[in-house]
Amino acid sequence: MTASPHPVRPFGRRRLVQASVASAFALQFGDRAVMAATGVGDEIRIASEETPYGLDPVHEYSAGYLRSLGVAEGLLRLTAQGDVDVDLAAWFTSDGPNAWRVGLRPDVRFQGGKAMGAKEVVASLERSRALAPFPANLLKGITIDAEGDRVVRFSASRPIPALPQILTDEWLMIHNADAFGPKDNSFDVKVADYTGPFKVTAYNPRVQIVADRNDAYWGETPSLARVVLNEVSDPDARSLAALSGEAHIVRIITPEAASRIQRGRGARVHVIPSTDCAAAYLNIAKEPFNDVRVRQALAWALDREEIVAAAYNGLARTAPSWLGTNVAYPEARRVGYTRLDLTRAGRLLDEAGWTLAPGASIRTRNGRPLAFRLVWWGSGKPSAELIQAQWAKAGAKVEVLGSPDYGYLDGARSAGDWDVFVEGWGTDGDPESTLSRHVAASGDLNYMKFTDPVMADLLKGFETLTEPEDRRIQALHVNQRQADTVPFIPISSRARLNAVSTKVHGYVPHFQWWQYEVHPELWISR
Amino acid sequence: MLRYVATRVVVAALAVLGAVTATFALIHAAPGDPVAIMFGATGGGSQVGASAAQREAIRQELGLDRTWPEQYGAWIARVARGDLGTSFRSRRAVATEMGARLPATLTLGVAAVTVQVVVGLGLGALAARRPGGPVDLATATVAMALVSLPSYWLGLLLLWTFAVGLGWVEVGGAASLPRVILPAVTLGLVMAPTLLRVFRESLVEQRARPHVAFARARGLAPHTVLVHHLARPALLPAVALIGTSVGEVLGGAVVIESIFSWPGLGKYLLDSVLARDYPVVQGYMLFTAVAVVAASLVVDLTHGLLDPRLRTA
Repeated sequence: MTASPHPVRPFGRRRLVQASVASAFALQFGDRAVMAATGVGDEIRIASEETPYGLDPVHEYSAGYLRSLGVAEGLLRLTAQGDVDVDLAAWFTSDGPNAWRVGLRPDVRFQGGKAMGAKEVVASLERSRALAPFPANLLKGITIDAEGDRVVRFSASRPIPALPQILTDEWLMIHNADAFGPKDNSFDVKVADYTGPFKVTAYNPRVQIVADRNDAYWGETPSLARVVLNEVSDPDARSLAALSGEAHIVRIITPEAASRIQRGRGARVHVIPSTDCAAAYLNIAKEPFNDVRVRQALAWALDREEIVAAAYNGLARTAPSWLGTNVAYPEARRVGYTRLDLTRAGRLLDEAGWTLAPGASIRTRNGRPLAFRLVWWGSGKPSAELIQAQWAKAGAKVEVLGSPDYGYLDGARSAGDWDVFVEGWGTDGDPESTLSRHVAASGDLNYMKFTDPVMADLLKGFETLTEPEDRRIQALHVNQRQADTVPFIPISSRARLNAVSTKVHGYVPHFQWWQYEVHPELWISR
Repeated sequence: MLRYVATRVVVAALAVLGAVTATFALIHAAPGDPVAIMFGATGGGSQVGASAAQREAIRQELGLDRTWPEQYGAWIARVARGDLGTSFRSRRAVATEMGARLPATLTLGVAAVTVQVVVGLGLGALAARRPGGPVDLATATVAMALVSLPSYWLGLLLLWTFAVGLGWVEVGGAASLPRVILPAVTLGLVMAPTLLRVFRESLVEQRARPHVAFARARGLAPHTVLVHHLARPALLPAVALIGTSVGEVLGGAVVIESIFSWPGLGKYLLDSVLARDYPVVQGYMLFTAVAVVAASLVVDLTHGLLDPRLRTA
């Protein structure tokens, strides 16, 4: 597969109109009018639930934030439609099943002035691989070599059809490895040397990060002069930051605040089309979940529309099957548990021996009630209580317990003391990797200890598939098998609601929140 | 006197040791593994996770593969050398991180106690002028309302009014004097009612004491009676209460700093508890224990200054 080279970003119609208007004003009123018309010289303020924990890409909880601020870039990126596109790369092409070649854009320099060539890209990726577990796993078994100044070759002893998707990962941002040095070097602004349109100029960990325009940026000169990211960890306070107009972009507001903000005229609420899928994970080693009919019954007994409406104010998507939240798999929305079907749920439970005595509300089998615990964490309490009520209609007695603290769930899970818990994970990226984490016997998120020979064969099938469409179809087969065997019950996407000032132009809601929230064409009108 | 001071110091040291030991036990007993949380749903990507070997390597690096007594002993040994350890999350020295946030919490604490003292003593004095009168009833109502209000709700109400309604303050940003006003008012108002009622009761009680009647009978000026014979002894329980405010400030800061995005130690602690960042939690609790014990000592000394009988004893 080859992508068309994109040496220069297109000069869009909006920018053309904007520039024309600016020029007219400039002739009439001079430079200040140009600045007023184009927004040049403006500062954008973002309120976020978190700020980067460090400035080094190998530092936990940092990579995505640095990418989102337009500070750092990767070789490739995913478009809002889920397609792989070039970023610092000019092109990429398959070099046989076991190798890829990636051509770099000319004239890219790090913000410190050093030219970014193939050698620097290799050093950056090798540094990430050496210092952080996620990049090490993403690039496991892959050899990275520079071919001349402008081409990087990725090769392995096995087929690596998913390499382009891997290279879009937030962790694989390109940085000046020489400037950062051999260890995690997160707190020195002077060493934070990337290629993005904005350069970090001030950093107060967990409080504020300021990035100024990189005038030597390889692409279009950014319209904005400065990006200021403030940490506002309390969700209600963030909503107030949106209502007061203090922040131009407010990340993750509450659904309750969304309608209030929408009523005002100062900001719009963007529902970010998350590919995350919240699911109820079932402890299939235990009764009653060791019976697939019970799992299927509980999946049919969920009214996902009601959950989306009540728990997310209608601002999420139902997930009839696990890939149903991913824009790249529209077929997955027609697979699995596409509607509430209490009749079918009741029949399956009857078949499994969990019957409802006349006048009783809880099903029993051999005198034991169909009763179990549902653990939530984070902000999952409202949806957990809805699930409790919905499963009660099917004859299950569900005790809901949990905490906003993730440690509570982790503790229960590691002790094996759990029946059902609700958690959400991204469905994007290389389907083989993403799906294997959940349904492969060795998957790190396979808390259910789910094993299934058919599923194992389906996952193994990825090894011989090199074409993206073939892999996508294989992912749909895995998704179908997941829906049939139900080790976990997909529920809905987890909506990410951002409030964006009406003065902000060029904002792109992206399912990967960190993909270019701030980009060169983002601007603010006065 | 020397023996008294030595005893107080030993007791204080034992109190601090007890507090940090209890904290160590509680945070380690709390469910949740720091490494699992690091790579869990709060920090994981979608494409890959961390392997068991990688997790174990990090556990070893952080010293989590050792037994609790070993971890505790190592921590105590480090603290004895003046080293609070390294944060699991930021990989920076805990002392450095706390040092960076301490000024913000101190600023908030001083400002909040100022609000507490002004409101508590001021309204307490007003209420005590005529017990049962309209002012007394009004202050009792205000005190009851403030005690009943959750600080979280009060903070949001103030933010709504002054950030959204009036646009006078900002919700987020770096620490600054204008930004400390709202969190300090919130925290101060939450702490003020108890002081108000204690000072009011103390003033009423002192006014009925014979020495006050005697001072008046001697023909001393009302101002002299108020300052020397009424307010000074009435302040004794109030000062004790203000001393305990140190703990209240540090505890209240956890909520208040989160609402107001105030970059102090409270918010740092909350994040660290959720991440099971043991060195940070232990370092913070050591700081808190020392601060509370020191405040208690200061209160004792102040009592001596205010009450000549204690000096004589």
